[in-house]
Amino acid sequence: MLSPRQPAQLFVKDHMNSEEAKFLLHTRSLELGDPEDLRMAEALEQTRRDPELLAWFNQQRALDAALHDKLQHVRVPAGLVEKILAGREARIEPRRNRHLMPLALAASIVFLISLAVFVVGRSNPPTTRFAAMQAEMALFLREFPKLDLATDRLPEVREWLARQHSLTQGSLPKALERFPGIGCRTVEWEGRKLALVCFMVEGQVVHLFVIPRSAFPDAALSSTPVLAKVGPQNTASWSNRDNLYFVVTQAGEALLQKYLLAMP
Amino acid sequence: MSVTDQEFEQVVRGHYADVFRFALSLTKREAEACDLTQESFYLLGSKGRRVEDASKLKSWLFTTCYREFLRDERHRVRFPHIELSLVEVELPEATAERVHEMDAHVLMETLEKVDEIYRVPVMLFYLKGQAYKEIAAALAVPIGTVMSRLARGKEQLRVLLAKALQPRTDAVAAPAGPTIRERPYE
Repeated sequence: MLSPRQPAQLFVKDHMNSEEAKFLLHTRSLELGDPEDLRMAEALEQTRRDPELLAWFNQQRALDAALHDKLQHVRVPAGLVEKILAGREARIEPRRNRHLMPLALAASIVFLISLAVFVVGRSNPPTTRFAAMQAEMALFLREFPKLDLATDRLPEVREWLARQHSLTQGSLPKALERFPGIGCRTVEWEGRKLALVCFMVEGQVVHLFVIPRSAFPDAALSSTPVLAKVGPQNTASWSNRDNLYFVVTQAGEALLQKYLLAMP
Repeated sequence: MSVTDQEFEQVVRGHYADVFRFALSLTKREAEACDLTQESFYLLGSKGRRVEDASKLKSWLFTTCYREFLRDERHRVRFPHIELSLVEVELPEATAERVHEMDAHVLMETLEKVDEIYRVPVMLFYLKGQAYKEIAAALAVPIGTVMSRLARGKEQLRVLLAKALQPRTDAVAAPAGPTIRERPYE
């Protein structure tokens, strides 16, 4: 806050009127520092000559500060950071040497033509929303995520699944139920809510997504887990009548083979 | 400047909330604001080498966010000219105390009612604490124009806030809201 002081030290021929000063002071940065320019300095000096203007300015600054503070309370959607980080990893392309661009372009055209011929000859395109989700979640789980519920008790996890995702008893695969849990959380992806349950299997973290089949009608999964490497992660995907299952772990593939491929 | 993974994550965590709030003020829809925020950071990730000074990253993000918004808003009228004067109305005064008491989402809704031409500099002013010279650089408009828009935008916001803060029973009788003539400041 400013307070009246001695008359201005600044040399000015004519004082600006209070309306002009108000107009300038409206634009005074929230971060108090040196006046932005000579006219702002003059407007600030005017507040020292005009108590009414000073009162208005102090009130305005308080209002500005309150608005600034209040804006910091505007809710930001959960998971936005993860989406931004996952999006970058998924979409960023390596820089290319500009001199090689024409060659790269020609090669791309040849590749695209070959790809088109290949794709046209196939009944199922290789990319689905489920596959896109798998790629993003594998990146997302490179680091252990924050959990909505941290517990090693599976009854609590089951209750959470029922409450948050309307998933019934028996939704968790028996192959993983024998291991202690770490916790669970909801991950939002393209408007879908995915249930994530984390287990500790032989000292390794194993992440399990349980997703209703209706969330990804394009996912063509069998009841036998299919193992695949996605980036640095080993994954397994399968389905039953009601749900899709997607497991992500940094543990070796042998762990998934040992427990998931032996499922009844 | 090259943006490494670690730097990128640091920048995301440091600025994503404010960039989202700015995007929300532009799009008025949460899902679109999320997309716009992600797009801004994606562009940082893929074109980050163009940002020469790390201290200017936040300005770069706001500017990019705004440009991406404009790119998508092809129907937008670029220079609306509003031929009305500020209407003085008898409304409860918008004070710091009242703002502290109000819900943040009500403030956001109120900000969204400010004309876009004024809303953008006002948001940059409040979210980032930018001075008018920085805002002028971010929006690529003359300093005098930014000062004019900022002053009038804040005045429009003040009247809209007063309207938002008045008791609901008075809402019917209240005037439609402030209307402002834009004039260049020299």
